[in-house]
Amino acid sequence: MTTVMNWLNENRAVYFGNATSMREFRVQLRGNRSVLLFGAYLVMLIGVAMFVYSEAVGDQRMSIVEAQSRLQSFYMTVMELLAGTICVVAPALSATTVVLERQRRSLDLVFSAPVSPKYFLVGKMLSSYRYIWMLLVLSLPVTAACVVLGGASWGDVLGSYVLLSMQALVLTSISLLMSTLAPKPVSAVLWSYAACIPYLLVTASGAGSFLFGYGHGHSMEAPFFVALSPFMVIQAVGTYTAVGNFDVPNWIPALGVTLLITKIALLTAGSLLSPVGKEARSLRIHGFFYLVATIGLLGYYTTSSIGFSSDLGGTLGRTLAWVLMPLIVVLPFMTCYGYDGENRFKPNGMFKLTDIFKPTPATGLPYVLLLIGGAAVGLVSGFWIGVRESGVSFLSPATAALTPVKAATPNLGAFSFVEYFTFVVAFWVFFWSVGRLASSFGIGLRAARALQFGSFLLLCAIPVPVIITLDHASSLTGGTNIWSLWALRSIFNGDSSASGEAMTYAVILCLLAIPISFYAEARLKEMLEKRNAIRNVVDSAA
Amino acid sequence: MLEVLNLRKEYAGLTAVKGVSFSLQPGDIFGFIGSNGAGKTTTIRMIATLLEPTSGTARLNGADIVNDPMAVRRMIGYMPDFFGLYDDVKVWEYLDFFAAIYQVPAKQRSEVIDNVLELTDLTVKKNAFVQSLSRGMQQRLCLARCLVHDPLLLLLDEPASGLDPRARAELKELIAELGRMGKIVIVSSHILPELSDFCNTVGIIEKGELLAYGPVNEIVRATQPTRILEAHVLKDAAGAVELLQRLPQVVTAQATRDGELRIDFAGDNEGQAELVKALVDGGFKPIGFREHQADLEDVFLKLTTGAVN
Ligand SMILES: Nc1ncnc2c1ncn2[C@@H]1O[C@H](COP(=O)(O)OP(=O)(O)OP(=O)(O)O)[C@@H](O)[C@H]1O
Ligand SMILES: [Mg+2]
Repeated sequence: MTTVMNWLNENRAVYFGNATSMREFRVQLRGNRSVLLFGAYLVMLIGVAMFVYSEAVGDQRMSIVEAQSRLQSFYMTVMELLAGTICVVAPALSATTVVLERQRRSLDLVFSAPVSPKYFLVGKMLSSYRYIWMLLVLSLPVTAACVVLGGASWGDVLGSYVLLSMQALVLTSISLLMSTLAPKPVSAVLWSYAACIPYLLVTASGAGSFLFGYGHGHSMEAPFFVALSPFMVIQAVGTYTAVGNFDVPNWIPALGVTLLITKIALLTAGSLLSPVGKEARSLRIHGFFYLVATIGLLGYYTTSSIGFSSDLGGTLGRTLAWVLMPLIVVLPFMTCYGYDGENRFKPNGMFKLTDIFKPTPATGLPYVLLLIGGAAVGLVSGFWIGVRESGVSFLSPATAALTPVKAATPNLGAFSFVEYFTFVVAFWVFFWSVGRLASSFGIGLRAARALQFGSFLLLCAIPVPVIITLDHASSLTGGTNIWSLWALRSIFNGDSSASGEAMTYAVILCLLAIPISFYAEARLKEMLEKRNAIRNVVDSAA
Repeated sequence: MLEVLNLRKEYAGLTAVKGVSFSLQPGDIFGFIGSNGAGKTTTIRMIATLLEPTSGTARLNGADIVNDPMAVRRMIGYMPDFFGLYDDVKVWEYLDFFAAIYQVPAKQRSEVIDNVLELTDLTVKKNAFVQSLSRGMQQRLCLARCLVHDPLLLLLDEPASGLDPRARAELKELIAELGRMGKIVIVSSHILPELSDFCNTVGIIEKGELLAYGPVNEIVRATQPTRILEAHVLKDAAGAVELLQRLPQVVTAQATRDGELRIDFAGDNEGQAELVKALVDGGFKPIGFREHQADLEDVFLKLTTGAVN
């Protein structure tokens, strides 16, 4: 009971009366700057709206129906404008917050007080987010005009605002993460846009591919992710997902996803900020479950597009390889060791299964393997559930009773899936060993990470131009040809021989990874012994 | 009570702090002396829970800096060797912000702010903007910030750097006052005279090692096994030197050109009295006799080699 009360009290302090956000609020309200800024924004919004409006309904002789549709397009323009403003403003607003404190060196002051990274980051987020809300509220007169003129209903407007503000939260938290990562304010802003733009593109194309497929009078049923794009809020407002007999409005799962993204971003930022905190560990736990859930959903939603091709196992295997590619961004943070002022990255062994969520170099590989295994199980189960729901009964009930992994029976290409799975494991084990090797040079944590990342890019990219110059006639797909020299070929190739090639590379990469990692281990041992010798000399001299 | 237990911090290429241990009681003002790069800031930041020790730990009233940093943070006030002030914020807002993150109840904050402003003599600047303060005032504001939650331990990293002599004197007075209030104060500096007159405990650190630590006079005693005595005799200084050199506890004795005697003496106070008696008995007429006061500066110069990491 008391733990619950403590938890409540702690969270109340974090979200209400957060001192960080209070201070920023005072500064924000101070002086004429914000008044000027908001004034300019309002003038611009109204100006553009008037212009679009006069263009839209300037012609007096049109029919009511036509006027109605023009008003609707006016409303759409206003919302797109608003979405655009938020996509530009939200990253810029929060990108500088943490990095400025770091530069001013006030972070030390804050963290020598009993302040958790969560408290600090949520405070920062609230203060940026409040700004976004002011922008939304200030735009109300214009959107209200749409309602009054008949271009939209109040429900549309409110729904759109909810969706927009959710996406603003995602952009804010992504930029906040970039702000903790970046060394300078300018790079923080650039990195934030670099991180937000892919998110906006992916969500817009995901939502667009569904929403624009519909004709007029379509049903409002659509996958929930249509609600994740700020540019599609009008179309997404009324959509729902049927779950059994219920029609769940899409904003509910979208809100869930929004909060999860926010949580992951803040946990990552928190683990970067706190030298001794629990954030890093909790990030690993959350990361694992979210990955499995996301990939499960992906498997579920792609059931129909993967279809029931003859090479089902191969297709799933390639999908698995693709969805795990983003690992390259996090792998350097999990495998490399060195001294950067924090014990978290001190070499503590190669492979330790106990305490797998504790972020140390020794648990790097076990955790990566756990992620891969979880992703595979998630993908296959999601796909399996999708198959069950689609009602296609090409699997016997007896098979259906088996576990999802076994469900991909040999005739479905289970063997190719296993081959691809082995390839994926070998691929990441190989890069893990490269990271260990880079660290064993004793060049420092940052350099080792850069080396690991760079070697990934090189090994994956360099063969491409070489192969093209050597033989531009061969095709990436199809049977064995010169492209077989490229380790990544099999994940581009849907040919039946591809999984065999993947298996070959799995063996090759493993054969490389084993000596590399043991050589790195020997180097590390040597380095540590040298350090100890020096330390003994120094200590005995003292 | 603060116990620092074998704190060690390793960076990529060097060990910045090599197993530092000491313990302090309420009321202790600990002068932490070392040249640039000796490891003062690193040690202080570890105690302030801002840096994870490679090994070793410290405990403040039983709370461990590694296992229970939040409990430690509630009891410490850390003043870094830079300001870290926010722009566009007024003095009272700045203090209010820190009072809030130190979880001082909202109702008490304005009273607390008034108190610390009074203590640091900044009351008149309550509504001024932080960036409009002079350097000395900003320094005092930083100290005021450390005090809003009435901490047990104050970690002041080079608090006097950049202050004029008057401000320095005021700061010393303030720190002495904090000691009288029963706080533990750690003050780091590389300027010795700055610390010698108001610290009751000192630690001398070089290349990450604590060379000596303890109450000021004990340290001086421990590091100076002999004392220098200065005496003046009415006439025949050379004869006096001859006599003195025969005494068992005298290491060396010399006469300066103007007749002053410098005696390197290994005995205690009792022996010192005997020495005077021997002079008088020998027919010399001592007209002045005193012990040359070895100070921290001597100790420091004697202990350290000036080597840096
Ligand atoms: N982040 C770091 N990475 C590597 N070495 C560091 C780091 N921080 C400090 N050091 C090294 O640790 C040693 C001790 O530094 P520290 O700042 O503790 O000295 P200091 O006694 O406070 O010196 P000063 O009087 O100049 O403030 C120095 O040699 C410094 O170069
Ligand atoms: Mg320092």
